[in-house]
Amino acid sequence: MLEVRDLGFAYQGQPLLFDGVSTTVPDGHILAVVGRNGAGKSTLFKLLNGLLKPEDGEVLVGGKSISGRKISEIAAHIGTVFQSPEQQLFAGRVEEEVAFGPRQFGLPANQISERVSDALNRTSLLDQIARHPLDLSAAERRFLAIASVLAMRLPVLLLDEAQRGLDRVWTERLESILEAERSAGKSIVMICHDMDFVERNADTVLALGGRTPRQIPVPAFFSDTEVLAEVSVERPTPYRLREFMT
Amino acid sequence: MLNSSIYCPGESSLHRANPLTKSTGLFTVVVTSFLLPPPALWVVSAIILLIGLACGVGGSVIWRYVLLSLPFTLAVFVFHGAILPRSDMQPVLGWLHYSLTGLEHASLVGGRISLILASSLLFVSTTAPATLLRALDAARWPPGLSFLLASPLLLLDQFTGRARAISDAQQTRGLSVDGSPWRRLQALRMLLVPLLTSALADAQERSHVLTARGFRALPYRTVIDPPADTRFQRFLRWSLAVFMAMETAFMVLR
Amino acid sequence: MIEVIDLHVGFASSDVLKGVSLRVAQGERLAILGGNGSGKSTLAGWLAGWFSGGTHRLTAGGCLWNGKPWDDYTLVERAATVQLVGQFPAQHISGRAFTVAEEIAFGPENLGLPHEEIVTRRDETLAACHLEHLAGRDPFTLSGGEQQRLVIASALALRPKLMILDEPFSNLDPEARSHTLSVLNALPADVSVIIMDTNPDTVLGWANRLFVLHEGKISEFGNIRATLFDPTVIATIGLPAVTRCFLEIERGSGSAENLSRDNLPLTFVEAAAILRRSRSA
Repeated sequence: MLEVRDLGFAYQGQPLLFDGVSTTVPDGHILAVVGRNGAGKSTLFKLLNGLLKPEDGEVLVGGKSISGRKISEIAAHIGTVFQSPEQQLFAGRVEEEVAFGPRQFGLPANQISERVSDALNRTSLLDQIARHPLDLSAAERRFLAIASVLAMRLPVLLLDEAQRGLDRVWTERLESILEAERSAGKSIVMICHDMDFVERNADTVLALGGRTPRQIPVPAFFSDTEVLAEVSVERPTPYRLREFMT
Repeated sequence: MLNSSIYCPGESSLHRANPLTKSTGLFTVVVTSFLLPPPALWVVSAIILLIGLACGVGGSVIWRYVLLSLPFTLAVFVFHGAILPRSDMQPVLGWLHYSLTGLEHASLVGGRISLILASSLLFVSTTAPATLLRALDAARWPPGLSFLLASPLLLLDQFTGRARAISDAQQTRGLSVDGSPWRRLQALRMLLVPLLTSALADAQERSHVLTARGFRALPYRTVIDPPADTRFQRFLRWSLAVFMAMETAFMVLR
Repeated sequence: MIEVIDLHVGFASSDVLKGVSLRVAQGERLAILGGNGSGKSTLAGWLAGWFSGGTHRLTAGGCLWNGKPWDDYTLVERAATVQLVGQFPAQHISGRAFTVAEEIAFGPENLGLPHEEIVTRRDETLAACHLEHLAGRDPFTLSGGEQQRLVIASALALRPKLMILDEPFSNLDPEARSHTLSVLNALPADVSVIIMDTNPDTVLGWANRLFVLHEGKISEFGNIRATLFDPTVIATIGLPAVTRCFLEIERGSGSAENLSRDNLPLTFVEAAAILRRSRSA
């Protein structure tokens, strides 16, 4: 379980971006973070994974506070998939890239290789195991970044626009990975601009950029015209279609 | 390094002068610095700083001048005046000795650096990089040269931003920047490989874009608002060029 | 106009394009849909004459502009004929201009055009791409959507006859996407435009012709509907969002109408009308 309690944060010399933001992502739950550019979605991720330190409040994983710990220690609890996989691929082989994370935990070699093949299998990259990460297509690279996080088997996952630019086949692969992680009891937070994707996959929404960011169940969020306008978010297709019918 | 943030906008005659005239002036000062005796070097440096004040860029020029020249000047005087063994070493106090010829030499080297630094700072504080590029284009210098001047200024921020993003991404994967030398080497590789590969990918894409936009398709480019130039400035540039040639000849032949 | 004849291209050890043929007439608005890794960017690069060698190997066929390959044209002629806009706007900013206005003038200045002509083009393009309020800004400080409009503006200032856009929307948020689309809708009628995309929704309603690139081959199934509802297209690209959503609702309620690729709804209005009829029936 991931808990955020009364989070407060401001960039130096700027007004408060977050003031008393609280949210809870139970085990087996997907929270979507939405809002326009500059509303603080990426900043929130950095506060969760330790790249930024909150001024107030704290972040808890499984009931234990992780605020104030080193980034590399937080990495043993929270995994982040960034927008551009090019920012992390360093290895000469797909296999080695995925093995990096589990190796940090000092696992025996057979467990590492078991985790690597499992993660690559789930991301449909098993037949690319010996290739150079940069020889992969853009979608495959994105999934390689996802595999690197899956192999660490962490209780909390953060995904930043993981669905962006994917075709139907890859989108469905991503959705089945999300579903499997949810069933496995992970707490998942995703930043997402695609409201159809949010509607299909998320349980609750945290909308940033409005007056008071609140965590709202998906159906209630998309039915609340006032909040939607406040954070300038488009309704997903099913809701718009229903609107056309009445 | 030339940095776009050093430029201070203004309306002084030095600001309005054609960048080519200013750069010719700068080169003349550099060449002349090799002919001037030590006291003159320091006097001319002071005059240049005063010109900066008169042009409204004094503050920015002077603090940068102090910041950059002070450590060097001190080091030169201490090294040549008191450390490097010379025949005329005189005792001052206890173990401390000094040499007059050493101090003179330090004054010459330090003065030269001071003069070159002061005049370069005056040049970059009064010349917007974009105006310099337009002047080079208008004078039909090769477009590739102006690109080499402009791109580091424009792309540096992007590059440092990406380096930070890569470091962030790797730390959230558990990369620890402290530890044994082997681990640090591994850390360095995890930061450098993505930085270099993405820089190369960008460079390749950008070179296609430049070609597609006709960059270097012709040996010259049109400039829509070339910096003002006058007959007097052209005359001045030629005169300075002739003067520099005479100075160089004098230095070689003497 | 541009003609692609049996283009075969390899990259690294694999074949990316396996015999692509295509002919685009003046003023056409063409969308080429393809899944991730289907070779869209490679095709875009070849159409624009970017890869006449290097890492991409041509194994057969080629691209002709008015009957001649790109190599037969000078760089100046090419720049004034074809422009390619890519997926990552920051990579397509020249790195030579300190302001948005300078960036737009950069191309025309390279072509040695007369002074007044460049100023006219710059100002017209600034207005057409809604960039006037940003004219004095450093290009690298713009948002992704603003950068994408700047890249389109810089290409337009060269007055190309063919514009190719490779996934111009995939890295933009919905707001920036609709701004970019409005710029594309207002492009001069005599310019041919080709957009490569993975998603049918953004190009639907914009394109006159729809192609699909799949496993290195390109196909057009007669008309837009036939293309969209082809089984292999549905499997790789997916249905348009409205159609997909309509079918989900309809499957639950059971429609009285006989639905086929000829009358499946593509817009909200069409979908709502059918659902209302089946409800009242």
